Amino acid sequence: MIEVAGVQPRDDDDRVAESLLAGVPEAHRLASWILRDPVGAEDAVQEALLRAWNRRRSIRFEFGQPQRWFMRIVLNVCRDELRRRRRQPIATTEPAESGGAASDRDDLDRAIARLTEDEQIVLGLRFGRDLTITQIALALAIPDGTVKSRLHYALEHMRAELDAERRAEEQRR
Amino acid sequence: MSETDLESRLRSYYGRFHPDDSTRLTLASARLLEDWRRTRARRSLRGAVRLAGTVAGAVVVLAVLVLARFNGGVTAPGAGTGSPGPAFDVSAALRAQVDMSGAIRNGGIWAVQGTYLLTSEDNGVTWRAGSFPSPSGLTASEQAYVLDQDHAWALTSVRSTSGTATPALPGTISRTSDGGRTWQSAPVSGDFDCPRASLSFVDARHGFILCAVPSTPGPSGPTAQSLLSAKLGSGTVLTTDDAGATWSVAGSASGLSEQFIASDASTLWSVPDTISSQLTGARLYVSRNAGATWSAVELPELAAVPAEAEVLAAAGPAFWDASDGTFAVGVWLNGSSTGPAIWFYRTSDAGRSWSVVKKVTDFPMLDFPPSAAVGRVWAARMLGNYNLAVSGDFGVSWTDVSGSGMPENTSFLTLDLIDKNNGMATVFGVQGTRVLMLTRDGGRTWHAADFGDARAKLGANSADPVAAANLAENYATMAMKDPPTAWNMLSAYSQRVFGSEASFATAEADLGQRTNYTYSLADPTQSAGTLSLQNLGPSIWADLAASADIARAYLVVVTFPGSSEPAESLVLAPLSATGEWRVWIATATTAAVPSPNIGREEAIRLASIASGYADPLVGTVELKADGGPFWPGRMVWSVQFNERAGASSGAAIVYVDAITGETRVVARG
Repeated sequence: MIEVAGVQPRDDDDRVAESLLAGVPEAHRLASWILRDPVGAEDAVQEALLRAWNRRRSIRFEFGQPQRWFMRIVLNVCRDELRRRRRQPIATTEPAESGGAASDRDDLDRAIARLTEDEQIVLGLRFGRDLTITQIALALAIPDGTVKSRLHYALEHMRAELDAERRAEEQRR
Repeated sequence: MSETDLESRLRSYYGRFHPDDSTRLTLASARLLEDWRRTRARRSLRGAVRLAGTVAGAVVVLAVLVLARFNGGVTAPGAGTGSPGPAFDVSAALRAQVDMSGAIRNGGIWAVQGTYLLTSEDNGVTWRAGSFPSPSGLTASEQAYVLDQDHAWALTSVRSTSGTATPALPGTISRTSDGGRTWQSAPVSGDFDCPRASLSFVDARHGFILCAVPSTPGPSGPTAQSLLSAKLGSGTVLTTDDAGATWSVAGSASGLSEQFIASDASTLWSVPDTISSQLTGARLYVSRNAGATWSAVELPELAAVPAEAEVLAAAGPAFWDASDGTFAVGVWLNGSSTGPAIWFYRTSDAGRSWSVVKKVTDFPMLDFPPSAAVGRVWAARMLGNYNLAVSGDFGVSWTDVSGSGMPENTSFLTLDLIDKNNGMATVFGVQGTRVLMLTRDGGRTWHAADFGDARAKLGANSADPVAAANLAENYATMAMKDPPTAWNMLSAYSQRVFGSEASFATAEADLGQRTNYTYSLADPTQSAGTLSLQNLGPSIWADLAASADIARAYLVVVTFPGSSEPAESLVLAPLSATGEWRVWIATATTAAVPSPNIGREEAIRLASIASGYADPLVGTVELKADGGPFWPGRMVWSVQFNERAGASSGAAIVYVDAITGETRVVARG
């Protein structure tokens, strides 16, 4: 058995800092898949970290809880960032000359950017982090049914976008 | 393009964004936090942080974290919410699992648990059980509306329920006027779109269905540039005056969403969805002629809010009689120094005039719209975890309460207020289960609903092989992550079907007496469904033993050829360490399943392996510390194990990622 000896009772703030830092890898993954931008993801994690730190007095810290709370803040920071992005015009790059992986990636990039923030978040959690419906519901603290309908409409909207884009491309040819 | 096609494209697309190793970021974050704590000075966040450091340094930091958490977990397993009051009672919560629940319009609580409809008119002291018409309980494509203990309706969509379903039409409306003892069904459909439907009844005869088509954003979201191409949602109102037997279209309008209620037989309220609200500025619609025409409600003081502010419905509207109602909106001027606010409104003249009761601004998180609830006399806003700010006077004065008795590591899924003292909430109890919790002191202490013997009185013939297969499938998922919970789930299900262990024992003994039956074996965790019959040996037990897998439950359907008797479904699951099995007999049904015969000996054997039913937690994996397998799911378990080979037994510390199910033994002795 592992023995843990000599661990001193720590100041509450130390406990908070430790548990927040323990959540950084998971936060990093979430932000990467939701924002789809490595630099933005790192910024989001650190912003969430400080937001969480500044609000540490507003919740009781107990074993196991700060992590979940931190992830919700990460998701909120990501949501803010997506909202900010959506208010900026979407880059209208011309579609690549031929089909193939690069063009497919651009198509998906654009189609996802046009979804609502909440739809982008569930897509990231589902297809990036590979969570189940129930796990997403837990993470977002919303009912399963809401996750399902968000996912459903996200895919529906994407299909519509991709179809429209394909038609536009066919016309150009 | 098929769904599968798009989904697999998305998977490979998202695969590109898998982040690099996070140790660098963790280390940089540790420094950031250190600096921040030292200076306590505000600074620009974006771009101010430079990531630096070595991997070796990061490993040291992480190793310390693991030890620290381990220490916390073993010496101080969480004790509920920590405040004085009851601790969360796991076994009570297991019996209080519900698929859905809500407040009864005429006062009281309803819940659907599997195939039971449960109602209480005394805030959960006593319960009455009826059956719920859907064999597998309330699913995402169904909705229930409960008017009183006798009258309830359920909407079941005809649409495929695979994947991402919502209550929709065409569908079936089932109605009961005897508390769920009997149900009558009628199909509902028509020449209108209805991807999302919701029900509301004002009395035993008069009710409405609002069929909503959600708004869709324009090419770059609902912004000024794309107003022209964004599509406003719309809704169609159906009405009945014969308790739901026949329905007719009352009218339709744009902007309506499925979030709607009827406050009397002619007055309906609908909250537009977010996009629609952003496009039109409307936050609430009313119809005064039973759905024929609609108009936007002008809420006082909102006109003075700057156009660029976000204003979204936060809670309600709730009406507890035709005159008195309440509604709350979130107001947030993005980028301003003031945070988001909730404005609480009320009316006492049937919504002809509304007044602002209070504008509240303190929220612990940047949720928007903020989480709030309104009800009869009450209002509440959620402050994170189980902390609530509650008001017994519609929001004029507020008290902060922190709830005890709730499970750790989760928060409210739903919150309904019945009166100043009584409230109900659903939460995730043990992993994957939704639990109905009640309070009698305004949210200070919570306890799991106790349905008592209401279900036993109803009898035990309300499930079918489909429900059993679903259960077996859920078990398989659960057993990967949390075997004790999986066992509890099966046990709770069995009690649900049988009502009591005595009736289970009777069914079990009956089956053991039988000689002329046949069976088929299905492994519901394989998408093919049923194992090929050619692969079945002469005895079902040998077949099961050959494919025993702790992560799976098996569905066995036993039929009785040559007799008119219904089939029995059994759910079987192995105990990994002992090689024993547990058996749950699901129900009697009329399903006919072709399968080979087994003899009397096997029949007795089948019954005998069910002998451990009384204690399904006999499994040999025992959690010793920190039973909170929730998001983000990392934790340390201390596990007692007895290995199947019989050679060794002992204890181990296991590091578990409850989300991926990945486990790592970090020490054993």
